[in-house]
Amino acid sequence: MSSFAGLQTALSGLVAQRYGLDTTGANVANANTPGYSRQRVVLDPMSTTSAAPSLFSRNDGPGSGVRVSDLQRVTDQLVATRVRQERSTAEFMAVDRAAWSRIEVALGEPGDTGLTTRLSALWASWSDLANSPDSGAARAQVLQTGAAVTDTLGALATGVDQAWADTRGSVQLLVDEVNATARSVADLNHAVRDATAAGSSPNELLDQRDALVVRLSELTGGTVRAGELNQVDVYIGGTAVVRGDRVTALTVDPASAGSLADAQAGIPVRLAGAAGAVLEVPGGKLGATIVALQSTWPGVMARLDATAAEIAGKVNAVHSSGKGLDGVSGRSFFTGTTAATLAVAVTDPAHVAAAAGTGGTLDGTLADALATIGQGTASPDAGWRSFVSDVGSMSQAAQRRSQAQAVVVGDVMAAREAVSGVDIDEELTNMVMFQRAYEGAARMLTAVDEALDTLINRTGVVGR
Amino acid sequence: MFRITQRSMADTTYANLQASLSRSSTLQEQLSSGKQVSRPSDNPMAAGDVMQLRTERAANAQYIRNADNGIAWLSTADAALQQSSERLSKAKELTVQAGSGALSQVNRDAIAGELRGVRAGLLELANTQYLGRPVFGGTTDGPAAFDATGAYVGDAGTVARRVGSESTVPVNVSGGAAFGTGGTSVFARLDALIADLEAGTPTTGHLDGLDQALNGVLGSLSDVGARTNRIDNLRAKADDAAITLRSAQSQIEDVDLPKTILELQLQSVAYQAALGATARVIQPTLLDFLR
Repeated sequence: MSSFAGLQTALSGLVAQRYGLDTTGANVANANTPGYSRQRVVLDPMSTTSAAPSLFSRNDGPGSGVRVSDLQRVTDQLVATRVRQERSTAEFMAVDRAAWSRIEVALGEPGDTGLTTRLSALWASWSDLANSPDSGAARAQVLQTGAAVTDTLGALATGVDQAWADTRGSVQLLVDEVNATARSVADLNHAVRDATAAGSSPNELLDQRDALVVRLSELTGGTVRAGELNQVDVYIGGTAVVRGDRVTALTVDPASAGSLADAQAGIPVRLAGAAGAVLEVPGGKLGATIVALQSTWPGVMARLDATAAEIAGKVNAVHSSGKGLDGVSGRSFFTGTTAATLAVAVTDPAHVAAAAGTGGTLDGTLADALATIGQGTASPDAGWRSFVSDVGSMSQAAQRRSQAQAVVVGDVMAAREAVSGVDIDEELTNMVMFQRAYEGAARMLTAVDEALDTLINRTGVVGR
Repeated sequence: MFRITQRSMADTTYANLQASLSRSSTLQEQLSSGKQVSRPSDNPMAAGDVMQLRTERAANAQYIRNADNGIAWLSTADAALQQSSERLSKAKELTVQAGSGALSQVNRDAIAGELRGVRAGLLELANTQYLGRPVFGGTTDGPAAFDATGAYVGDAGTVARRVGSESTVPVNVSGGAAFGTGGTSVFARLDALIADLEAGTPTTGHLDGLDQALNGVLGSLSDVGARTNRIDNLRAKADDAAITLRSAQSQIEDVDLPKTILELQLQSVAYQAALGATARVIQPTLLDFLR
C-alpha cells in the first residue's frame, strides 16, 4: 500500500461528500417542482482487493476510500402505475359528470321555465277553453301555450344538438394533444436512451417523461410497458402509439358520425392508427368523450323525441275527433314527432277543436278531455317527470363516482409524494451529515499531510 | 409508515380547505335560493315529487277558476228562475181573477193585456245570457234559447265545469226542463190562456197548466240549488287542497331555515379552524435551528 494512499482515500471522501451536498442542493431546489422525484447518492466503499479473488490476491489493509456508484431516482413503479390508472379513471368520470350536469341544467327542472310548467299551462288553457268555447282569447291562449311547449322542447333539442357538436369538435383537439404528447414522449425516449448509453444520469429526463406519460394516460387510458435502456412504450387499446422513439399518430376516422343524427343512427365515432386500423380508446378523457357522443347524448335526445311524440300523439288523438267553430273535424293540433320538429299545426284560432264531434257548436267536452291528458300516471307529464328523475339519478351517480375518484387520486398522489417527494428536514439532516463528513475528510487529509511532513521533512535528520 | 413531506401536508391541507369551502358554498346556495332541490341531482326522488306537486297545484288552481265560472253560470240561472216563478205566480193570480163570472169583456181584455206583459217578461228571462251565451240554451251558438213565438231554439247539450280530477258539474239549465217545449211550454200555455180570455171562453181549466209550468220552474230551481251546493263544496275542497299541496311542496323543496343557518355557522367555524391549522402547517423546519 502506497504511502500516499491515505491522501487518495481522503480525496475520494471529499469528492463523494461534495457530490452528496450537491444532490441535497438539487433536491431542496426542486422541493416544490411538480413531478420531481427526489434523488439519492449511492456510495460504495472502494476495496483494495480486486473483485474476483485469485490465488495471489490478498487483503491490503482498510480499503481505499469511497466512490459514488449511482445517483438513484427514488420512485416506485407500482405507485407510478396506480397514478396513471387512477388519474385516467378520474378524467373519464369528470367528462361523464360534466355531460350529465350540462343535461340537467338545460332541463331547467324543477322550476318555472321547465317543460312541466309549460305543459301545466297548456292543460289549463284547454280547461279555460272548455269554460268558454266562444272566446277568441281562450282559443288564442291555447295556441300560445301549445307553442310554448313546442318551443321548450325545441330549445332542449337544439341544446342537445349543440352540446353534441361541441363535444364532437373537442375530439379533434384531444387527438391533436395525444399526438403532440406522444411525440414528446418519443423524443424523451430518444434522449434518455442516449444519456443512459453514455452512462450519464437521465433522472430529470425521466421525471419529464413520466409526467407526459401520465398525461397520455389521462387523455386515453393508455398503458405503459417498460423496455431496455430506460425506454417506455405506450399502448392505447392494444396499439403501440409510442414505441421507443417512434410514434404512431392517431387520426379521427373520416367515416365517424358527424352529427347527432348520425350517432342516433348508430354510426360510431372512431379513431384510426397508422394503417387506418380502427383503434378502441379504452378510457381517459377521449374515451369518455366518445362514450358521451355515442350513448349519453343520443340517449337523451331519444327521450326528448319520445316525449314530443307522446304529447303530439295523445293531444292529436283527442283533438282530431272534435270539431272547430266551423264544424270541421279531423284536424291535428300538433305536427311533427320529434322534439326538434314538434310544432302547433293549427293556425286559425277558430280551428281549435273544443266541441265533441256530436256536440253543439259551443260544446266544451272535448276541450275538457284535452285538459285531463296531463293527469294520471300514463300522462306525458308523468313520463317527463320520470325522465327528469332519471337524469337526476345519473347526474348524482356521476358526481358521486367522480368525487370518490378524486379522493382515490388524492391518495395515490399522496403515496407518490411519500415515495418521491422531498422532505426538507431529511435533506437538511443529509446536508449536515455530508458537511460533517466533508470536514472529516478534509481533516484526514491534513492529518496524512502532517504525517508525511514528519516522514519527509523531519525523518533522518540525526546529526545534521 | 407513510413518509410525510412538507408538500404532502400542504396538499392535504389545501384539499381539506377546498372541501370545507365547497360545503359552505352548497349551504350558501341553498340559503340564497331558499331551495333544497334546485337541480334534479340534488335529490332525484324529491325533484320528481316537486314536479308532480307543481302539476297538481296548477290543475287545482284551474279547478278553482272553473268552479268560480260555474258558480257564476248557476247564479245567473238561479236569479232568472226565481223571477220566472214570481211571474208565473202573478199569472196564476190573474187567471184566478179572470175566473170570476162578474168580469166584463173589457176587464178580461185588460187582464189579457197584463198577461201579455208577463209572457214578454218570461221570454226575456228564459233568454237570460251569461257572457253572451243564453244560460237555458244548451250549447247553441245563437243569442237566444226561445224565439219570439216561444219555440225552443237551443240544443240539448250540456255545459259542464271540471272542478276535480274526477268531478264535472253541469252548470246550464235545460230550457225544455225549466220552461217546457212545444204545446206544453210556458209560452204556449200563456198564449192559449190569453186567446181564451179574449174570446170570452172560461179560463179556469188553464190553472192546472200554469201549476205544471210553475212546477217545472221550481223543479229546475231546486236542481240549480243542489248543483250550486255541490260546486261550492268542491270549490272548498280545492281551496283546502291548494294549501295542502303548497305545504307539501314547501316541505320537500324549501330549505329548513334554522337548520341551514345553524349548519352554515358550524361550517364557517370549521373553515376558520382549518384556516388556523393551515397557518400552523407552514411549520418551522430544521432550517430554523441550524446555524
